[in-house]
This record gives sequence, C-alpha cells and structure tokens, in this order.
Amino acid sequence: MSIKTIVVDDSAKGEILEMFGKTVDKNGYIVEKNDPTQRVLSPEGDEMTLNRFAGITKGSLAFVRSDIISLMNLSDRVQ
Amino acid sequence: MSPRFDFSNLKSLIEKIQLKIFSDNTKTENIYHVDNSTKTINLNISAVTPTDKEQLAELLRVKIDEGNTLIDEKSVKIIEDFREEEQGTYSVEIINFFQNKVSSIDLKIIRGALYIQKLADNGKDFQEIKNDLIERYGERARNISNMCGEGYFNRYFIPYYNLLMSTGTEEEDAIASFNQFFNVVVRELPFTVFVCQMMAPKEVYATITQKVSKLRSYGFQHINIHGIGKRNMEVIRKAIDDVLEEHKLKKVITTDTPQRLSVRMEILPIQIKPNSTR
Repeated sequence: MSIKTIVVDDSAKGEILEMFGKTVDKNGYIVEKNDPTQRVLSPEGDEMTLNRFAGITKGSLAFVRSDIISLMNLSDRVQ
Repeated sequence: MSPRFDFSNLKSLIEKIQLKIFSDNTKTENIYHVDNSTKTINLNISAVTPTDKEQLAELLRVKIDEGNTLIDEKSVKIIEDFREEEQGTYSVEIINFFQNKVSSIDLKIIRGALYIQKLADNGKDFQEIKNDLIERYGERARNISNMCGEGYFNRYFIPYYNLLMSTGTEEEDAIASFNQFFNVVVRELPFTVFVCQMMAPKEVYATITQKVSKLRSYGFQHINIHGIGKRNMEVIRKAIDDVLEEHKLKKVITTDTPQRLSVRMEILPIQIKPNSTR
C-alpha cells in the first residue's frame, strides 16, 4: 500500500520550510523563523538539519527526520 | 513579473494526480506543468509570488490535514521498500515471533535489521540505514543487526524458545526466560565475535581466547566468528590460525564467500591428566 504523498524535491525544501514559518540557522538546524533559538523537533524528539529533513506529516504539522526509525514510525502512523 | 497562480485549477488537478514541488529560479515562466507520462504535476516554487505562497501553504496544510504527507522522494522510496519487505514471509514470521517477547525498542531494531538484511541480500547499500539504527540505539542495534544478518533468529532465538515450550514450560515463564537469554546474547555476545574494521588481529585473538575460556568453563560447545569484507576476513583467518594452535578447537567454516566469512569453532573437551603426586 502506498502512502498519500506530495513529493518535495530537495531543491524546494528550504522554501517549503519558509512557507511553514521555519528557517535554517547558521549551524544548519531547522529553527522557528520568529525564534531562531528554538530548534524544530521531530515526533521522536530529535533536532534536525536541513539535509536530515524528510518532510511534513499530520499531527499539528509534524516535521519528519529522514532516519530509518523516523520513517518506520511514519510508515506505522500513516497505515 | 511572475504569472498569478491558478489555485482552483491546481486544487482540482491534485485530487487526481501526484503533485511534486521543486525549485528552479532559472525557469520561472511556468509555475507548473503536467507530465502525462508520469501523471505528475511539477510545481516550481520559485515561480510562485510571495502572496500566492501564502495560499499554497494553506492548500498544503489542508492536504496534510487530510492525511497526505509532504515528503522527499528518497524517503518515500525507503518507506515503500520497507513496507514491501515487511510483508515478506520471512519478516512476518520473525516479527510475529518476537512481537510479545521483546521490548518495543528491540522490536523496532529487529524490524530495521530485517530491512538491512534485505538490502544486503539484494546487493544494495545499507550502511546509512544501519548507521541510523546504531546512532539511535547504540551497540544493541549493531549486535541485533549483525545477528540478523548471520541467521541467529532462526539458529538460536526461535529454537531456544521452542525448546522451552516443548519441555512443558508455561508460556509466561518461557517468555521471561527467553527475554533473559535474548538480553544476555545481545548485550554480551557470549558465543560470538563480530570482527569490525577497528579490530586488529591481536584484539580478535584476545577476544576469542577470553570467550573460549569462559565458554569452556560453562560447558558450552562452540563459538562463532563473523566478518564482512576482505580485510576483516583476513583478520579472522589469521586470528583463528593462532587460536587453533593454542586451544583445543575444531574449525568449521560455515560461510565463505568473497564478501563474508563465518567460522564456527567447536570447543573440544580438555582431558585432565591424572595428578602424578597422588
């Protein structure tokens, strides 16, 4: 069974984050645009850099990390 | 000036076909185009005006709320591949077996390990995924993943539980006993040495020697040495030759391919000489 997706190319990730009120700080971490000291956390409680950002899913807009455990959890959630 | 965004048309299109968002600020004349061959709407976010981006964000929020996931292609591929692997007979059997016998974290590691094994079996790169697992769950994940790759689920864990059940042990006691066995084997690798890049031949030799001595004192009859890659295989061969010379062991090669070497060494009993002073 495939999951319902809107596919984001790596080239558009920065702009997508901006659209959702996030930005990337000088260390490469995704942070709140209106409070750059606040790093965005994945549902697993992990901070994430732009290159570890996989996407956004349901759950008060959950920002998903691209590691295998986060993707397994996403797969379980969106059955 | 960029063209205005026709949201009503886009909304109706993405009900039917896949939306893919990319960014290319060198081609801003078209906001989106439909690729009929892949049934995809390719939307160039660089071509969307700031005002229209607010509307697009709202549209995406609605779609996410409806159960869509905004996600990159690589992650979609991993999820689909992972789901396909989990539907395979072997994985279903293993996951069902471990389901109520190990912690939820261990079960997650086991699921990840099965996926890594599938990638390895198909000659695909699995290192990044294995590193993810180890980064999150440490040595426990490394050991479970290595054991999965060496067939320990079917060779040790399932037979151990079946043995408990066949001897009339109550299910609850069998699970408790199994859990204890699983934890010791995963944490301490009592009868296993996984040779990795960081281990020098001397360290492998010392580890085998130490484990053989302990196993012999418990009456356990074998030890397994595993290595992947030319370098680790050479280290194993060298260490084993040295160990065999000094200890009473019998070498049995269980796997010897260009990429993988597994050696089982039977620990033979040592005959104690009669005490001459008596």
